[in-house]
Amino acid sequence: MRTDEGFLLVATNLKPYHTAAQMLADSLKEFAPNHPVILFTEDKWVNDPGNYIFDKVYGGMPSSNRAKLLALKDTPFDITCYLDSDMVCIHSDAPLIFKGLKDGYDMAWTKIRTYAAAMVWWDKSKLKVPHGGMCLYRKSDKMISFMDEWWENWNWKRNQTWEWDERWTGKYPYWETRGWDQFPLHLMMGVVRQDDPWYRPDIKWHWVYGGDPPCVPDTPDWDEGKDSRWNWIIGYNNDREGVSKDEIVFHDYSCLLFKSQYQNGRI
Amino acid sequence: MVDTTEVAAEEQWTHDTMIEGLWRSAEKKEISILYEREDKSRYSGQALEDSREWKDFFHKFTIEEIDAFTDTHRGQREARGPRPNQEQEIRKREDKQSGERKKAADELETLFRAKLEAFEIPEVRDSENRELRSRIRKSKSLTEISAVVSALMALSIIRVTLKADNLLDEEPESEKVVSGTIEEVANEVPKDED
Repeated sequence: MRTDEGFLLVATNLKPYHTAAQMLADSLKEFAPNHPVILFTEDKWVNDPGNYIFDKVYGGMPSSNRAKLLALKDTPFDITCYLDSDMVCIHSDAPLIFKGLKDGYDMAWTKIRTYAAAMVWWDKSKLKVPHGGMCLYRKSDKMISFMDEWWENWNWKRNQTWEWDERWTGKYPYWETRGWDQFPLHLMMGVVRQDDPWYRPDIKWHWVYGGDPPCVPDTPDWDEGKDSRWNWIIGYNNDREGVSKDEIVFHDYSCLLFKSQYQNGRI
Repeated sequence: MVDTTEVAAEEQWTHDTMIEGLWRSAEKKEISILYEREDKSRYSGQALEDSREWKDFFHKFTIEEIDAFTDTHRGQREARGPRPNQEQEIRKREDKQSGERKKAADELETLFRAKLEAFEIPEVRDSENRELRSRIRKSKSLTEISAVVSALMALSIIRVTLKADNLLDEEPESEKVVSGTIEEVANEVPKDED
Protein backbone atom coordinates (compact mmCIF):
# COMPACT_ATOMS: atom_id res chain seq x y z
CA MET A 1 0.00 0.00 0.00
CA ARG A 2 1.34 3.40 -0.95
CA THR A 3 1.54 6.20 1.59
CA ASP A 4 2.57 9.10 -0.67
CA GLU A 5 -0.57 9.11 -2.82
CA GLY A 6 -4.15 8.45 -1.85
CA PHE A 7 -7.81 9.21 -2.21
CA LEU A 8 -9.55 11.60 0.18
CA LEU A 9 -13.33 11.43 0.60
CA VAL A 10 -15.60 13.56 2.74
CA ALA A 11 -19.07 12.60 3.94
CA THR A 12 -21.11 14.90 6.15
CA ASN A 13 -24.57 16.37 6.58
CA LEU A 14 -26.59 13.52 5.04
CA LYS A 15 -26.34 9.79 5.73
CA PRO A 16 -26.59 8.91 2.04
CA TYR A 17 -23.36 10.85 1.45
CA HIS A 18 -21.69 8.57 3.96
CA THR A 19 -23.15 5.45 2.38
CA ALA A 20 -22.11 6.72 -1.04
CA ALA A 21 -18.57 7.30 0.24
CA GLN A 22 -18.47 3.67 1.42
CA MET A 23 -19.60 2.51 -2.00
CA LEU A 24 -17.02 4.73 -3.70
CA ALA A 25 -14.29 3.38 -1.41
CA ASP A 26 -15.44 -0.14 -2.24
CA SER A 27 -14.97 0.61 -5.94
CA LEU A 28 -11.57 2.23 -5.37
CA LYS A 29 -10.42 -0.86 -3.49
CA GLU A 30 -11.33 -2.90 -6.55
CA PHE A 31 -9.66 -0.70 -9.16
CA ALA A 32 -6.85 0.98 -7.19
CA PRO A 33 -6.03 -1.53 -4.44
CA ASN A 34 -2.58 -0.11 -3.74
CA HIS A 35 -3.80 3.39 -2.98
CA PRO A 36 -5.20 4.19 0.46
CA VAL A 37 -8.69 5.64 0.79
CA ILE A 38 -9.39 7.89 3.76
CA LEU A 39 -12.62 9.45 4.96
CA PHE A 40 -13.36 12.67 6.83
CA THR A 41 -16.78 12.55 8.44
CA GLU A 42 -18.90 13.57 11.39
CA ASP A 43 -18.21 11.97 14.76
CA LYS A 44 -21.59 10.20 14.72
CA TRP A 45 -20.55 8.10 11.70
CA VAL A 46 -16.95 7.37 12.69
CA ASN A 47 -17.81 3.96 14.14
CA ASP A 48 -20.20 2.87 11.40
CA PRO A 49 -19.49 -0.83 10.69
CA GLY A 50 -19.34 -0.18 6.94
CA ASN A 51 -16.30 2.02 7.50
CA TYR A 52 -14.09 -1.04 7.52
CA ILE A 53 -13.61 -0.34 3.82
CA PHE A 54 -11.58 2.81 4.53
CA ASP A 55 -7.91 2.75 5.45
CA LYS A 56 -8.48 5.54 7.93
CA VAL A 57 -11.51 7.46 9.17
CA TYR A 58 -11.22 10.93 10.67
CA GLY A 59 -14.08 12.45 12.67
CA GLY A 60 -14.65 15.99 13.86
CA MET A 61 -16.22 17.33 10.69
CA PRO A 62 -19.12 19.77 11.02
CA SER A 63 -22.57 18.90 9.71
CA SER A 64 -22.07 21.05 6.63
CA ASN A 65 -22.57 20.16 2.99
CA ARG A 66 -19.28 21.95 2.30
CA ALA A 67 -17.14 20.26 4.94
CA LYS A 68 -14.82 19.06 2.21
CA LEU A 69 -13.27 22.53 2.16
CA LEU A 70 -12.28 22.04 5.78
CA ALA A 71 -10.99 18.50 5.31
CA LEU A 72 -8.75 19.03 2.29
CA LYS A 73 -5.95 20.74 4.20
CA ASP A 74 -5.56 17.78 6.54
CA THR A 75 -4.54 15.26 3.92
CA PRO A 76 -1.73 12.94 4.99
CA PHE A 77 -0.69 12.34 1.37
CA ASP A 78 1.93 14.12 -0.75
CA ILE A 79 -0.45 13.94 -3.69
CA THR A 80 -4.15 13.71 -2.95
CA CYS A 81 -7.01 12.88 -5.22
CA TYR A 82 -10.20 14.36 -3.83
CA LEU A 83 -13.43 12.81 -5.10
CA ASP A 84 -16.99 13.83 -4.32
CA SER A 85 -18.59 10.99 -2.41
CA ASP A 86 -21.38 10.54 -4.96
CA MET A 87 -18.90 9.10 -7.44
CA VAL A 88 -18.01 5.53 -8.29
CA CYS A 89 -14.75 4.28 -9.76
CA ILE A 90 -15.39 2.06 -12.77
CA HIS A 91 -12.03 1.69 -14.51
CA SER A 92 -8.69 0.07 -13.73
CA ASP A 93 -6.89 3.23 -14.91
CA ALA A 94 -7.80 4.79 -11.54
CA PRO A 95 -4.22 4.67 -10.13
CA LEU A 96 -3.05 6.67 -13.16
CA ILE A 97 -4.97 9.70 -11.96
CA PHE A 98 -2.01 10.61 -9.77
CA LYS A 99 0.14 11.02 -12.90
CA GLY A 100 -2.34 13.66 -14.05
CA LEU A 101 -0.62 16.30 -11.88
CA LYS A 102 2.53 17.69 -13.48
CA ASP A 103 5.76 18.31 -11.59
CA GLY A 104 6.05 21.87 -10.39
CA TYR A 105 2.29 22.38 -10.16
CA ASP A 106 0.11 22.53 -7.09
CA MET A 107 -3.28 21.43 -8.38
CA ALA A 108 -5.04 19.89 -11.39
CA TRP A 109 -8.74 20.10 -12.21
CA THR A 110 -11.17 19.00 -14.87
CA LYS A 111 -13.32 21.41 -16.86
CA ILE A 112 -16.98 22.05 -16.21
CA ARG A 113 -19.16 21.14 -19.18
CA THR A 114 -21.65 23.97 -19.14
CA TYR A 115 -24.29 21.99 -21.04
CA ALA A 116 -24.54 19.72 -17.99
CA ALA A 117 -23.80 22.32 -15.30
CA ALA A 118 -26.28 23.19 -12.58
CA MET A 119 -25.23 26.84 -12.66
CA VAL A 120 -22.98 29.05 -14.79
CA TRP A 121 -21.65 32.53 -13.79
CA TRP A 122 -19.10 33.05 -16.52
CA ASP A 123 -19.33 33.58 -20.25
CA LYS A 124 -19.47 29.98 -21.37
CA SER A 125 -18.71 30.93 -24.97
CA LYS A 126 -15.36 32.38 -23.94
CA LEU A 127 -14.16 30.40 -20.96
CA LYS A 128 -14.07 26.94 -19.40
CA VAL A 129 -13.54 26.71 -15.65
CA PRO A 130 -12.65 24.04 -13.05
CA HIS A 131 -15.20 21.61 -11.67
CA GLY A 132 -15.01 21.36 -7.87
CA GLY A 133 -16.12 17.75 -7.62
CA MET A 134 -12.73 16.22 -8.23
CA CYS A 135 -9.16 17.48 -8.01
CA LEU A 136 -5.56 16.55 -7.54
CA TYR A 137 -3.31 18.56 -5.28
CA ARG A 138 0.20 18.46 -3.92
CA LYS A 139 0.64 18.96 -0.20
CA SER A 140 2.67 22.02 0.75
CA ASP A 141 2.39 24.93 3.15
CA LYS A 142 0.87 27.13 0.47
CA MET A 143 -1.62 24.45 -0.54
CA ILE A 144 -2.66 23.96 3.08
CA SER A 145 -3.20 27.71 3.36
CA PHE A 146 -5.10 27.70 0.07
CA MET A 147 -7.50 25.01 1.25
CA ASP A 148 -7.81 26.75 4.60
CA GLU A 149 -8.69 30.01 2.86
CA TRP A 150 -11.22 28.26 0.64
CA TRP A 151 -13.12 27.18 3.74
CA GLU A 152 -12.72 30.60 5.40
CA ASN A 153 -13.76 32.50 2.27
CA TRP A 154 -16.78 30.26 1.78
CA ASN A 155 -17.90 30.85 5.36
CA TRP A 156 -17.21 34.58 5.15
CA LYS A 157 -19.39 34.85 2.04
CA ARG A 158 -22.13 32.82 3.69
CA ASN A 159 -22.18 35.20 6.61
CA GLN A 160 -22.51 38.39 4.57
CA THR A 161 -25.85 40.11 4.21
CA TRP A 162 -27.50 38.56 1.17
CA GLU A 163 -24.39 36.40 0.97
CA TRP A 164 -22.83 39.09 -1.16
CA ASP A 165 -20.06 41.66 -1.11
CA GLU A 166 -20.23 44.94 -3.01
CA ARG A 167 -16.91 44.27 -4.75
CA TRP A 168 -18.59 41.56 -6.85
CA THR A 169 -21.47 43.75 -8.01
CA GLY A 170 -21.42 44.17 -11.75
CA LYS A 171 -18.73 41.52 -12.09
CA TYR A 172 -20.67 38.38 -11.25
CA PRO A 173 -24.40 37.59 -11.32
CA TYR A 174 -25.86 37.27 -7.84
CA TRP A 175 -28.25 34.35 -8.10
CA GLU A 176 -26.01 32.09 -10.09
CA THR A 177 -23.20 32.29 -7.56
CA ARG A 178 -25.26 31.98 -4.41
CA GLY A 179 -24.61 28.85 -2.37
CA TRP A 180 -21.81 27.52 -4.56
CA ASP A 181 -18.42 26.69 -3.03
CA GLN A 182 -16.98 26.88 -6.53
CA PHE A 183 -17.51 30.64 -6.59
CA PRO A 184 -14.88 31.38 -3.92
CA LEU A 185 -12.71 28.69 -5.52
CA HIS A 186 -12.90 30.44 -8.90
CA LEU A 187 -12.08 33.79 -7.31
CA MET A 188 -9.08 32.26 -5.56
CA MET A 189 -7.91 30.61 -8.77
CA GLY A 190 -8.53 33.74 -10.81
CA VAL A 191 -10.29 31.84 -13.55
CA VAL A 192 -12.88 34.45 -14.53
CA ARG A 193 -11.12 37.61 -13.32
CA GLN A 194 -7.92 38.17 -11.39
CA ASP A 195 -8.76 41.36 -9.54
CA ASP A 196 -10.25 39.92 -6.37
CA PRO A 197 -8.37 40.05 -3.04
CA TRP A 198 -8.95 36.32 -2.71
CA TYR A 199 -6.94 35.57 -5.87
CA ARG A 200 -3.92 33.37 -5.12
CA PRO A 201 -1.44 33.82 -7.96
CA ASP A 202 1.11 31.76 -6.04
CA ILE A 203 -0.88 28.59 -6.76
CA LYS A 204 0.04 26.94 -10.05
CA TRP A 205 -2.57 24.71 -11.57
CA HIS A 206 -3.45 23.03 -14.85
CA TRP A 207 -6.07 20.76 -16.36
CA VAL A 208 -5.90 17.07 -15.47
CA TYR A 209 -3.65 15.50 -18.09
CA GLY A 210 -3.90 18.84 -19.90
CA GLY A 211 -2.42 22.27 -20.28
CA ASP A 212 -2.31 25.46 -18.29
CA PRO A 213 -5.27 27.76 -17.75
CA PRO A 214 -7.07 29.65 -19.07
CA CYS A 215 -9.19 27.48 -21.30
CA VAL A 216 -10.43 29.73 -24.09
CA PRO A 217 -11.74 28.94 -27.58
CA ASP A 218 -8.37 29.45 -29.25
CA THR A 219 -6.43 27.04 -27.00
CA PRO A 220 -6.11 23.32 -27.74
CA ASP A 221 -7.80 22.55 -24.42
CA TRP A 222 -11.07 24.07 -25.54
CA ASP A 223 -12.27 20.97 -27.34
CA GLU A 224 -10.14 18.44 -25.52
CA GLY A 225 -12.67 16.19 -23.85
CA LYS A 226 -10.44 13.52 -22.41
CA ASP A 227 -10.18 15.14 -18.99
CA SER A 228 -13.86 14.39 -18.54
CA ARG A 229 -13.15 10.66 -18.23
CA TRP A 230 -11.61 11.43 -14.83
CA ASN A 231 -14.67 13.31 -13.61
CA TRP A 232 -17.63 12.14 -15.62
CA ILE A 233 -20.78 13.92 -14.49
CA ILE A 234 -24.17 12.41 -15.08
CA GLY A 235 -25.59 14.16 -18.14
CA TYR A 236 -22.30 14.37 -20.05
CA ASN A 237 -22.57 13.40 -23.70
CA ASN A 238 -20.21 10.63 -24.86
CA ASP A 239 -20.29 11.73 -28.50
CA ARG A 240 -19.69 15.35 -27.65
CA GLU A 241 -16.80 14.53 -25.32
CA GLY A 242 -15.26 11.89 -27.56
CA VAL A 243 -15.16 9.56 -24.56
CA SER A 244 -16.72 6.10 -24.73
CA LYS A 245 -18.48 4.58 -21.75
CA ASP A 246 -15.62 2.11 -21.41
CA GLU A 247 -13.11 4.94 -20.90
CA ILE A 248 -14.82 6.60 -17.93
CA VAL A 249 -12.78 6.24 -14.74
CA PHE A 250 -14.67 8.21 -12.09
CA HIS A 251 -18.40 8.53 -12.67
CA ASP A 252 -20.38 11.10 -10.70
CA TYR A 253 -24.00 10.21 -10.03
CA SER A 254 -25.20 13.36 -8.27
CA CYS A 255 -28.86 12.50 -8.02
CA LEU A 256 -31.78 14.72 -7.05
CA LEU A 257 -31.45 13.57 -3.48
CA PHE A 258 -28.09 15.31 -3.29
CA LYS A 259 -28.83 18.18 -5.64
CA SER A 260 -31.53 19.44 -3.30
CA GLN A 261 -28.83 19.76 -0.67
CA TYR A 262 -26.34 21.44 -3.00
CA GLN A 263 -28.91 24.18 -3.32
CA ASN A 264 -29.15 24.81 0.42
CA GLY A 265 -29.77 28.44 0.96
CA ARG A 266 -30.24 29.15 -2.70
CA ILE A 267 -33.96 28.54 -2.91
CA MET B 1 -53.87 40.73 -14.67
CA VAL B 2 -50.34 41.07 -13.42
CA ASP B 3 -49.83 42.80 -10.13
CA THR B 4 -46.81 45.05 -10.31
CA THR B 5 -47.41 46.89 -7.07
CA GLU B 6 -45.00 44.61 -5.22
CA VAL B 7 -41.44 45.46 -6.07
CA ALA B 8 -38.20 44.09 -4.75
CA ALA B 9 -36.83 47.48 -3.83
CA GLU B 10 -36.11 46.60 -0.24
CA GLU B 11 -33.67 43.81 -1.03
CA GLN B 12 -30.15 44.40 -2.26
CA TRP B 13 -29.12 41.96 -4.96
CA THR B 14 -27.62 42.24 -8.38
CA HIS B 15 -27.75 40.81 -11.85
CA ASP B 16 -26.75 41.84 -15.35
CA THR B 17 -28.66 44.66 -17.02
CA MET B 18 -32.19 43.75 -18.11
CA ILE B 19 -32.71 44.95 -21.69
CA GLU B 20 -36.20 43.75 -22.49
CA GLY B 21 -38.69 40.98 -21.81
CA LEU B 22 -41.28 38.91 -23.63
CA TRP B 23 -44.36 37.09 -22.38
CA ARG B 24 -43.72 33.36 -22.66
CA SER B 25 -47.44 32.54 -22.78
CA ALA B 26 -50.80 34.21 -23.22
CA GLU B 27 -51.50 33.81 -19.49
CA LYS B 28 -48.69 36.29 -18.76
CA LYS B 29 -47.38 34.24 -15.86
CA GLU B 30 -43.80 33.92 -17.13
CA ILE B 31 -41.40 36.14 -19.05
CA SER B 32 -38.19 35.69 -20.98
CA ILE B 33 -35.72 38.39 -20.04
CA LEU B 34 -32.85 39.55 -22.23
CA TYR B 35 -29.80 40.44 -20.12
CA GLU B 36 -26.67 42.31 -21.09
CA ARG B 37 -23.33 41.75 -19.40
CA GLU B 38 -20.73 44.39 -18.69
CA ASP B 39 -18.90 43.34 -21.85
CA LYS B 40 -22.11 43.91 -23.87
CA SER B 41 -22.64 40.21 -24.58
CA ARG B 42 -26.23 39.10 -24.14
CA TYR B 43 -28.15 36.07 -22.93
CA SER B 44 -31.69 35.27 -21.92
CA GLY B 45 -33.29 33.91 -18.76
CA GLN B 46 -36.77 33.08 -17.56
CA ALA B 47 -38.70 34.50 -14.64
CA LEU B 48 -41.87 33.11 -13.13
CA GLU B 49 -44.56 35.36 -11.73
CA ASP B 50 -43.64 36.77 -8.30
CA SER B 51 -40.03 35.57 -8.49
CA ARG B 52 -37.34 38.09 -7.56
CA GLU B 53 -36.33 38.47 -11.19
CA TRP B 54 -40.00 39.09 -12.10
CA LYS B 55 -40.36 41.78 -9.46
CA ASP B 56 -37.09 43.38 -10.39
CA PHE B 57 -38.05 43.40 -14.06
CA PHE B 58 -41.34 45.14 -13.34
CA HIS B 59 -39.52 47.57 -11.12
CA LYS B 60 -37.86 48.77 -14.30
CA PHE B 61 -40.47 48.07 -16.99
CA THR B 62 -44.24 48.34 -17.27
CA ILE B 63 -46.75 45.80 -18.52
CA GLU B 64 -47.39 48.00 -21.52
CA GLU B 65 -43.72 47.91 -22.42
CA ILE B 66 -43.53 44.13 -22.25
CA ASP B 67 -46.72 43.95 -24.34
CA ALA B 68 -44.99 46.15 -26.88
CA PHE B 69 -41.78 44.06 -26.80
CA THR B 70 -43.83 40.92 -27.34
CA ASP B 71 -45.84 42.42 -30.21
CA THR B 72 -42.69 43.68 -31.90
CA HIS B 73 -41.02 40.29 -31.69
CA ARG B 74 -44.15 38.54 -32.94
CA GLY B 75 -44.27 40.93 -35.89
CA GLN B 76 -40.62 40.32 -36.71
CA ARG B 77 -41.11 36.57 -36.46
CA GLU B 78 -44.13 36.66 -38.76
CA ALA B 79 -42.27 38.88 -41.23
CA ARG B 80 -39.47 36.31 -41.42
CA GLY B 81 -42.00 33.63 -42.30
CA PRO B 82 -41.86 29.97 -41.31
CA ARG B 83 -38.45 28.43 -40.81
CA PRO B 84 -37.20 26.02 -43.41
CA ASN B 85 -38.20 22.41 -42.79
CA GLN B 86 -34.59 21.39 -42.47
CA GLU B 87 -34.10 23.62 -39.47
CA GLN B 88 -37.22 22.21 -37.83
CA GLU B 89 -36.03 18.68 -38.43
CA ILE B 90 -32.64 19.41 -36.91
CA ARG B 91 -34.30 20.91 -33.87
CA LYS B 92 -36.68 17.98 -33.58
CA ARG B 93 -33.79 15.53 -33.79
CA GLU B 94 -31.79 17.45 -31.20
CA ASP B 95 -34.81 17.57 -28.88
CA LYS B 96 -35.24 13.84 -29.27
CA GLN B 97 -31.57 13.17 -28.52
CA SER B 98 -31.71 15.50 -25.56
CA GLY B 99 -34.80 13.69 -24.28
CA GLU B 100 -33.10 10.34 -24.66
CA ARG B 101 -30.04 11.57 -22.76
CA LYS B 102 -32.25 12.93 -20.01
CA LYS B 103 -34.07 9.62 -19.77
CA ALA B 104 -30.78 7.72 -19.63
CA ALA B 105 -29.50 10.08 -16.91
CA ASP B 106 -32.71 9.59 -14.93
CA GLU B 107 -32.33 5.83 -15.17
CA LEU B 108 -28.72 6.06 -13.97
CA GLU B 109 -29.82 8.17 -11.03
CA THR B 110 -32.52 5.67 -10.13
CA LEU B 111 -30.02 2.83 -10.27
CA PHE B 112 -27.47 4.75 -8.20
CA ARG B 113 -30.07 5.48 -5.57
CA ALA B 114 -31.09 1.81 -5.45
CA LYS B 115 -27.45 0.85 -4.99
CA LEU B 116 -27.15 3.30 -2.11
CA GLU B 117 -30.24 1.74 -0.54
CA ALA B 118 -28.63 -1.68 -0.98
CA PHE B 119 -25.42 -0.49 0.70
CA GLU B 120 -27.46 0.70 3.67
CA ILE B 121 -28.77 -2.82 4.32
CA PRO B 122 -26.65 -4.11 7.23
CA GLU B 123 -25.93 -7.44 5.52
CA VAL B 124 -24.50 -5.58 2.53
CA ARG B 125 -22.86 -2.74 4.45
CA ASP B 126 -20.98 -5.09 6.76
CA SER B 127 -20.20 -7.76 4.20
CA GLU B 128 -16.62 -8.39 3.24
CA ASN B 129 -17.72 -10.38 0.23
CA ARG B 130 -16.00 -8.15 -2.30
CA GLU B 131 -17.30 -10.01 -5.30
CA LEU B 132 -20.97 -9.63 -4.45
CA ARG B 133 -20.56 -6.01 -3.34
CA SER B 134 -18.83 -5.31 -6.62
CA ARG B 135 -21.73 -6.92 -8.49
CA ILE B 136 -24.17 -4.62 -6.73
CA ARG B 137 -22.12 -1.58 -7.77
CA LYS B 138 -22.01 -2.77 -11.36
CA SER B 139 -25.64 -3.86 -11.60
CA LYS B 140 -27.43 -2.68 -14.71
CA SER B 141 -30.97 -3.09 -13.41
CA LEU B 142 -33.02 -2.96 -10.22
CA THR B 143 -33.73 -6.68 -10.60
CA GLU B 144 -30.03 -7.46 -10.68
CA ILE B 145 -29.45 -5.38 -7.56
CA SER B 146 -32.25 -7.22 -5.76
CA ALA B 147 -30.90 -10.59 -6.81
CA VAL B 148 -27.39 -9.91 -5.55
CA VAL B 149 -28.66 -8.38 -2.31
CA SER B 150 -30.77 -11.52 -1.81
CA ALA B 151 -27.70 -13.67 -2.30
CA LEU B 152 -25.77 -11.66 0.29
CA MET B 153 -28.64 -11.89 2.75
CA ALA B 154 -28.91 -15.64 2.21
CA LEU B 155 -25.20 -15.98 2.95
CA SER B 156 -25.70 -13.91 6.06
CA ILE B 157 -28.53 -16.17 7.27
CA ILE B 158 -26.39 -19.24 6.65
CA ARG B 159 -23.62 -17.58 8.62
CA VAL B 160 -25.95 -16.85 11.55
CA THR B 161 -27.20 -20.44 11.47
CA LEU B 162 -23.70 -21.83 11.51
CA LYS B 163 -22.80 -19.50 14.32
CA ALA B 164 -25.81 -20.63 16.39
CA ASP B 165 -24.67 -24.19 15.96
CA ASN B 166 -21.15 -23.22 17.02
CA LEU B 167 -19.89 -24.12 13.58
CA LEU B 168 -18.48 -20.64 12.94
CA ASP B 169 -15.37 -19.42 14.69
CA GLU B 170 -15.15 -15.60 14.74
CA GLU B 171 -15.02 -12.52 16.95
CA PRO B 172 -18.30 -11.05 18.27
CA GLU B 173 -19.75 -8.24 16.17
CA SER B 174 -19.03 -4.70 17.26
CA GLU B 175 -21.85 -2.33 18.13
CA LYS B 176 -23.46 -0.80 15.07
CA VAL B 177 -24.28 2.87 14.66
CA VAL B 178 -27.91 3.46 13.80
CA SER B 179 -28.29 6.19 11.21
CA GLY B 180 -31.01 7.68 9.04
CA THR B 181 -31.84 5.72 5.89
CA ILE B 182 -31.89 7.10 2.38
CA GLU B 183 -35.68 7.06 2.40
CA GLU B 184 -35.80 9.12 5.59
CA VAL B 185 -33.48 11.68 4.07
CA ALA B 186 -35.39 11.74 0.79
CA ASN B 187 -38.49 12.77 2.69
CA GLU B 188 -36.71 15.45 4.66
CA VAL B 189 -37.10 19.11 3.83
CA PRO B 190 -33.59 20.38 2.95
CA LYS B 191 -32.13 22.22 5.88
CA ASP B 192 -29.61 25.01 5.86
CA GLU B 193 -26.09 24.51 7.09
CA ASP B 194 -25.00 24.78 10.66
